[in-house]
Amino acid sequence: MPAGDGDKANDLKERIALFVDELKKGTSQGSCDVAIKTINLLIRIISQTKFSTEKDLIRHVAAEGSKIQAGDPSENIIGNIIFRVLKIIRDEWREISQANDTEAQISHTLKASIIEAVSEFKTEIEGCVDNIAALAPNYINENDVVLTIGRSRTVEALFKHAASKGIKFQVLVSECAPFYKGHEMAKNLAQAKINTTLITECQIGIVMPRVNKVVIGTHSIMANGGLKAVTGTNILSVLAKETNKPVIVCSSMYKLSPLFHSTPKHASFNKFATPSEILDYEDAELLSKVEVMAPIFDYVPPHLVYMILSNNGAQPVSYVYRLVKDFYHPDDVEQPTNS
Amino acid sequence: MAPKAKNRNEDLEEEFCLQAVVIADSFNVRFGPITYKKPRALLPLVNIPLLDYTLEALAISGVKDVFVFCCHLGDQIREHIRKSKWQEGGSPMTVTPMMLDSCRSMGDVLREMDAKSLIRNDFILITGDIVSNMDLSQIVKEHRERTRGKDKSSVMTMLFKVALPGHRSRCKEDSVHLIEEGETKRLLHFEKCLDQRKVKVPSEILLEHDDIIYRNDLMDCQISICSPIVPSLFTDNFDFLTRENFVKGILENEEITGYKIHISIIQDKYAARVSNLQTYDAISKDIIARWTYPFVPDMCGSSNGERMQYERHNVYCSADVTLARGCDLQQEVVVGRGTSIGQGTVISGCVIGKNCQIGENVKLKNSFLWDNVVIENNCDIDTALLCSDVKVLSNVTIKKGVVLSWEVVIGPKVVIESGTQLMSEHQKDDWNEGDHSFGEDSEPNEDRLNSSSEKEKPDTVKFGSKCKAFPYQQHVDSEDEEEEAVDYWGVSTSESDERPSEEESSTDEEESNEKDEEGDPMNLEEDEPEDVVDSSLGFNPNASMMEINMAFYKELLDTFIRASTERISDDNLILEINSLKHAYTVPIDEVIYSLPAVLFDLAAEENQMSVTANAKILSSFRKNTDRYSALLCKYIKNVETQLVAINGVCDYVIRHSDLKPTLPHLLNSLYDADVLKEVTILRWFNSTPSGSNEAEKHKFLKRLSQPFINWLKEAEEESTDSDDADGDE
Repeated sequence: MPAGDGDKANDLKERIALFVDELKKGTSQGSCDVAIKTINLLIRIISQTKFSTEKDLIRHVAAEGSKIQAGDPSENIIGNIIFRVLKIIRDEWREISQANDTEAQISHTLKASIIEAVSEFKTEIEGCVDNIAALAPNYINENDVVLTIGRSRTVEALFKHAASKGIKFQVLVSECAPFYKGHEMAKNLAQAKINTTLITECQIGIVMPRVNKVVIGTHSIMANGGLKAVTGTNILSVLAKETNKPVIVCSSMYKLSPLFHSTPKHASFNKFATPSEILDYEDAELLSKVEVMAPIFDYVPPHLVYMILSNNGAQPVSYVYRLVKDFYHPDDVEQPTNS
Repeated sequence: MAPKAKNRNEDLEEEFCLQAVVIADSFNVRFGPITYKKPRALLPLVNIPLLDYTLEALAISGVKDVFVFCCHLGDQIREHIRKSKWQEGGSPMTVTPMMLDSCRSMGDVLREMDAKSLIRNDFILITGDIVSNMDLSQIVKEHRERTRGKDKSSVMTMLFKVALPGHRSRCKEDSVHLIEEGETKRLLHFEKCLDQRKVKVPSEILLEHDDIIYRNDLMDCQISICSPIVPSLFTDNFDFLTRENFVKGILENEEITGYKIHISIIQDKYAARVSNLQTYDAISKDIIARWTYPFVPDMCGSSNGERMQYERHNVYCSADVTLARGCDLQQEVVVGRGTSIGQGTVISGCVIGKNCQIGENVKLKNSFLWDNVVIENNCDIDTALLCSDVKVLSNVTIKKGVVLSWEVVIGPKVVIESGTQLMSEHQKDDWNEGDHSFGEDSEPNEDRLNSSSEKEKPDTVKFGSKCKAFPYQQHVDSEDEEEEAVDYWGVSTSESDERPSEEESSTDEEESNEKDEEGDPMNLEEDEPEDVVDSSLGFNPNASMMEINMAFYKELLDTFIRASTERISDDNLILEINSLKHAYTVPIDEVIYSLPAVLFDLAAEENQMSVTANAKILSSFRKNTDRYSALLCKYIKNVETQLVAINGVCDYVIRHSDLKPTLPHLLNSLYDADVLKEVTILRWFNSTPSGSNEAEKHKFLKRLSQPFINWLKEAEEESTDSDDADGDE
């Protein structure tokens, strides 16, 4: 059935291209959405690949994965998911090759079990936000004043869950200029009948003394426990440290990246957006004289983070290295997907 | 019946697939010596072909069907599209190249399109050199809603972006004035302006509409959403050449046809057209400063296998670049893969292509280097464009605004003057952009050139002992004349801070120079290699602005003599002049250029004397200009034509050497007759033409006309107040 295969391959290519376009446009709906879409593509890729050894499959998945990653090199989540799936392939193969003898048998059962394991992983991702939200009563207390920045779906779910349990608390939302995602967050929280106040970034220092804790989301967690989070998070964490307020990071485990922030030249760490939010393009005189940088992410060093609230429960930052070793295989990580 | 119709409409709505038409040809020669080998749509802008930006912009707009119309060197574009990612399986849109070799204007393309009836729906009309990060589907939706709703007769929505006059990305030639109706955003008046101080607004607009907005703060993005009827309108009006013609035609005939045009102003997003070197420069800078996000080097480079790293101060480095210790990439630099940069080299504001080799202690500023460029040690390059395979040997200094076309070699140890345009082979007379490439046989063909072989050799004194470089002179078909206007890239942009007014004047002078040289293939040979310098004048008097057709001139003079004896009315005289113009197939500029001279010859003839600086002749010249002032004003309407006329007077004076002292007088007569405006005279006076010969000549003329200019300036100061009063009316 070569024709059917060709159709399938084309269909897959089209799906990948669509996703890459979406990444380029930046229209995806949050990191969970990106993770699920990536994993769906990977399941398709695996199911369409003919392979005899696990090495073939790993190479193929890594190559296809790098095409997806090319859509947005700074989107760690895609890389994380690919690494996690590669690790699943390795584990499954080891298990099955121990149980079976002939190669034909192995490759036959391998595909099915890999797809099953990956689907399980997908279910885990889908449940992440709910799992984290369920932890709310342990960390948000009556009459707490909680500070957050920008919009995170996980944090939003956490607050809503706490409110649904009848806990009365106040949330301060920093608006997160220049993209103002905080406005959306404040609106959503207020609609859920949570006592919400929207503040600007420059007010963070003023309100910090009367805040009980800082609860933030993050884009991803680097291998040393540092955060890659929206711009403004670093200054927020520094101020929290200064006044000894705990910074609690809500993050699903798939956001944990095996890469380090390491150097400022880290190609895929930050993303710089258009200056149009900050400077008017029509202003001819200013335009040629100033250089505007609009980084989307901040790096928050690990010592500013108190703990990570994940779908596997609360984790101390110092334990992140161990999790990285559990989740990822060093051979996959050392050879970056995008080279 | 009604619900049924509605259902059908809904079905159509679902079937709607967005189409786009890309015109991958500019139909002009703004990129003069470069586009003879590669069409403009494929020129690299920050290392990516221009067409790719356009196609990406269409892809993010959700376009499904793209037709790329290729004319000049269309094979290359077709080949490029064939290899592109759009032809791979799974591409979200289909790109179909269409070859139209015979088309000479955008109007031709649209007429051809109508004949093939490719368009079923509203479509996006765009040229192949647009950079945009805008989702056009929104605007298409607006347009559709408008045409389905209350304004069924809307045929086009034009896109504009706010950019104040003087903005770097605002193309001077495409600068527009327009009037929109406040609420409906309907376009009421549209006019291109080079730089007029006064704007004419048809009074009907003011009378008929209560709510109008006059705008001069918009930049034309050259993107339009068209109704399917547009191609057929082009067929109906075969004289529409450009989109501007179309827009004007629609606006003028609005009452008859009922068609309307609307505008849409882009907020936050970016869209601009690379229409000349100056905008090429500005848009490159915008891309580097990430205005076009997500189409920035570190994000789009990755799709064709190239990984760019973004570093501080807008420096983008490809992964496999060799940087020697001590080289300094200061800011706004892009370096393509495989390039090596030597010790002590300082680079700022540059785009460097693939596999370039840059030596030690080189200074590179605001320049564009395409692929495989070699620059040897100790060169100093400022604001230049170096095409692929250019070699700059050691110790060369390149001044502002230089363009080195494909495979040019210059040096060692020379200084290239600002504004020089060089190509690697001798320019052939019969070449222009519409013709096919002759890039295949790069050896100069002896048979085809009747000029002596000496001119085939490069000028080693000017361009270095090992050079392979020939100056490029612009050739323009007379059809293109109205569009002809060239921005003097580099010189004008760099000086704009210090003296904005003069910068503009130099641009205009350049324009008129370019204009004058049209249809004059001998000019190149005369000016450059021989350089006959008249010691007394300090310049070559024979290198006049325009070779005039003597037979035509004679006939024109006779017509005037007859007219003055037989008292023929102005209208008839104009008819006669126009028929002469057609009979001798001379361009309109030549007529304008000749008119002042003819009037003087006429004055001499009336007094039955030879042409000398005689008071009688001068007074009758003055009388003649007064008598024919209405006629002159018919021909000499705007700034450009006035400049042509001034050049005519000057060259006439130079031809008749004993008339030199009378130049102020002649200019004064024309000024008094309201033929020349003082703004234009001052502009001409302040301009600085390129080329040493031209510059010398201009200096000489300046000296001659000084008394008149002084008088004019004084008069201006006195009359400033009254001018203001005029402006208020």
